[in-house]
Amino acid sequence: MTRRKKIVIEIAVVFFVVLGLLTYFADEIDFMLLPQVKTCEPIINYSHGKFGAYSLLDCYIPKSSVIFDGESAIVYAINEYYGDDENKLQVVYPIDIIDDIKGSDELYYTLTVGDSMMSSVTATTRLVYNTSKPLSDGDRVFIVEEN
Amino acid sequence: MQKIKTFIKYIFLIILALLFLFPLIYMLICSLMPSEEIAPMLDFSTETYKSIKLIPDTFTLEQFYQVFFRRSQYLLKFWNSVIITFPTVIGQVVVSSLAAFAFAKLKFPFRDKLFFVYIVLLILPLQVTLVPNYIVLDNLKLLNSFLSVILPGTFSAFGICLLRQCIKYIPDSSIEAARIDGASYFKIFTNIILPQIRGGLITLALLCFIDSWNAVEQPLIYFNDRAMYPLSIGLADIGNSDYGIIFACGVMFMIPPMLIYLYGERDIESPFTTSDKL
Repeated sequence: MTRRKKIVIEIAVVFFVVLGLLTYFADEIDFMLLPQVKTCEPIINYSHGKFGAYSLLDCYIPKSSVIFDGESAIVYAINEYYGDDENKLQVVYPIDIIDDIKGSDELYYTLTVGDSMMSSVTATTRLVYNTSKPLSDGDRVFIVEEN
Repeated sequence: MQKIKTFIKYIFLIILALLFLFPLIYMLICSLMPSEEIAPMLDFSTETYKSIKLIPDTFTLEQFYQVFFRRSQYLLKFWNSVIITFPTVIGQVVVSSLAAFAFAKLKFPFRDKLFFVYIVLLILPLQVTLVPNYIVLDNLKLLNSFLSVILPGTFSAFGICLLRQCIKYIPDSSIEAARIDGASYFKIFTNIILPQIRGGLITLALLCFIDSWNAVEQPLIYFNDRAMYPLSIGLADIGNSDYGIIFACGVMFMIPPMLIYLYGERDIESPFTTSDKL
């Protein structure tokens, strides 16, 4: 067998072995590379008032969960309504809360939101306040801590 | 004058070679671009002219990272292609070489008429036999399994015709001498025929590999489970996928055929141009 053929066989063996290992451990590798996030529920003050048919709520969210991007203020949320992806991992989606922010203190922003499902942030929304990697819409994440 | 002719000939051939290589080069370059750079080039919703970028603004391995580490479905499709192709190639080489030996060197009733039927089968396009094959596979309960693509691929008229041409030029005297020495036909096949048709076997293996590796119609029709689709179908599904990842998959998809060709390049010969060895 010529030297060229031996090199080709070696390259082929390495290629298929590497691909085989990557395929076999695909779930574990994907899991390790997922953003690790910590989530919390917003703190809701139900005694705010009414706007039309809906109750207005004061909602307190951690400052660390808000990302300012130009003229928008984004929080990433995990919501049961959207369900899990096929690998049973959570999916995040962004919510723009720039119009809802009415105040802040050292640790929290105060939002005024409605209590219906039409609101951007609801009592059941789990907000991401800490992440190991930057997030974008539709990213799968692993929740390491729920508060 | 001769030099000018040679120069023009080489210029023409280089341009032709670049034309053939352009899709490959474009695929390699696009696999190193981020998705944001590729999307405008491949947006066919408007009828405006699209400029083709051959030098990326940003070189990135993001697409390969996604294919190898984050999107395991493409790796699984790659292995589906391997599962379909390798048994088909091995089966076709074995079956075709045995059948070609019988057609070339053995005498049996209706041999030439039967071979004529094989020639006719060569002319039939694949699409003509898809429905009858589907009915047969359904009756054999083989639909939605890899055997539904492997088994029909194993029995190929092309392989038999190709190898028959190779075997035809082997002298009958060597076979007769072996028979006189008491060798069985199988021993003659393995010890005398196979070593002499090595080039034809490698050629058949390469052509069969390329044909099976790029198969799209048979898996689409015979498989119900999308998880069984090979990567050739995944690449054809470019409209529903991230373009950058598809280009990276294309690079990955290209590697096995290239390796096989590099392995057998020196041994490939065309049996149709071999002169009579008698």
